[in-house]
Amino acid sequence: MWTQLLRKDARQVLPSISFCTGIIVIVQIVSYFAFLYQHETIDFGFYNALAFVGPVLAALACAGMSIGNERQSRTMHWMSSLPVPWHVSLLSQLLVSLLGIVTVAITTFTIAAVIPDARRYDSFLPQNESDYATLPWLLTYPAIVAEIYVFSILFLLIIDEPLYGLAAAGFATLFVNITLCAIWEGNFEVEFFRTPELGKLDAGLKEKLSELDPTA
Amino acid sequence: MSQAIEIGAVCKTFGRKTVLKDVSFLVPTGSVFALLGENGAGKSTLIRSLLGYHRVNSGTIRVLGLDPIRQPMEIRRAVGFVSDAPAFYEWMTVEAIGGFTAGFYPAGFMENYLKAANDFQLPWSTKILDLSKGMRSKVALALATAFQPQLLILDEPTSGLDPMVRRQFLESMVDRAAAGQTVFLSSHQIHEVERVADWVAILHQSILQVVEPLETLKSSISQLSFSMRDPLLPLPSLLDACKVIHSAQTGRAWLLTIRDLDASIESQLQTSEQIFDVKVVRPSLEELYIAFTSNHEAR
Repeated sequence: MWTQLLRKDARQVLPSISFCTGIIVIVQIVSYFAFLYQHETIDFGFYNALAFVGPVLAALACAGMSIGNERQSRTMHWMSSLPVPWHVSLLSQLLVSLLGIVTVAITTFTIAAVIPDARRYDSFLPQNESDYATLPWLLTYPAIVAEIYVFSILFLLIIDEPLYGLAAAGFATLFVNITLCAIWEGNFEVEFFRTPELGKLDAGLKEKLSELDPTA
Repeated sequence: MSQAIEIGAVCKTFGRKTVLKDVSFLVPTGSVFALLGENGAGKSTLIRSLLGYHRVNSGTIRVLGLDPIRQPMEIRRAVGFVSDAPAFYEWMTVEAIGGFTAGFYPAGFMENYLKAANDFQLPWSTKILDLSKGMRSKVALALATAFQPQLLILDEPTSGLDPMVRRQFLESMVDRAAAGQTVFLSSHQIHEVERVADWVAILHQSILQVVEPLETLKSSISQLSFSMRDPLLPLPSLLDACKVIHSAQTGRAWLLTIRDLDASIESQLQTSEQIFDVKVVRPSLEELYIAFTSNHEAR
């Protein structure tokens, strides 16, 4: 039973996983050469962000292909007439999706890491103490990807139209994370909203303010 | 005779809409049972309730002695089901879908599927995507019958099939019933159903109108047609004692569908001065269906 289900689910998500990986890798490589050609330096903020986008896209695509597509094409109805417990079917889809997301993550992050310049310049890991709270973001990142996947599945089961389901999942993820971060920041003084870029902007603003009003 | 399906006082509503209203009947084991009804009569809801997809509001359902809500897996192992619009993984070939489904059933599935696919002349290596609607229906039927289910539930199984295959398929249902399997089917192909069904149930506007063996039904109901010399005159009082299922008047002509029509009434009508052209015929299943589902006023 498991062999059939895993094989079927793998075949279902394979095109979307390949598409996500392909798109991200192509954009990574093209942007790398484009930056080198135009500026002789690389904006690794953008470059690394691409690596983070990959698994998020994969989470949406896996949920869309496994649940959304099965619901839309009504194969879910046919599957429910077979002697397969629903939790076994769902678990198979979760396992395959997890494998797909991890594959995309490994591919995109490996590319981000193996390009030699990435190590010398601004990598996605915090470089010094002036970088604001990047590490908590990194730690919560897998949780956010999982959250997107779970919300996508939930909304795809509730909403008939897959695109609306995925959009609702996106909004739900944003809402939940912003709320959680706000609560967390308020209670534990962890600065989730302060990325290195925001930190620099913040420092610049403070500098300007002190110039305008030295007593402040 | 044991019962393959037992339905007792089943009611089902979706919101404020009543879909099944106090529906009760038994399906004998080894019979071909046809459920007839117009679109929206509640046939598909009833079928889905039999498979445990819907929980009914009240009443009891037993399928092969099992409770569909509490024992859905046991039911799916013993019941073959074909929906009105079967949907499969379009990237799978006819062979692959058989191999995939075989994984959930005991050994022997693939051999039976292969035989059924050959009988239906299904292209073995063609993807489902490239099959016509009729071919897809054949795949669904081949899959549903390949594990030799004790009970076969078919929701409009022959829609999309060409007449030859439709006839061939429905006749194979008779063979299955003869072998002890039970076939429960809903269909709009009344002519075809008439040829194969042992039992008939007619569902109209969520209410079960009749459930009887087809032969009993056909032999107990007559269609009486006659013309009145004066169309303004009321119907003869001797018809008051009859169980009229349906009546229709067109000018002078009347057509009454009557249960258990007494032969003496026919002879009295023949001799009446006000009435002429009296005929009594045995109605076809289609005529019975129209009589039971028509909203014309019954006396």
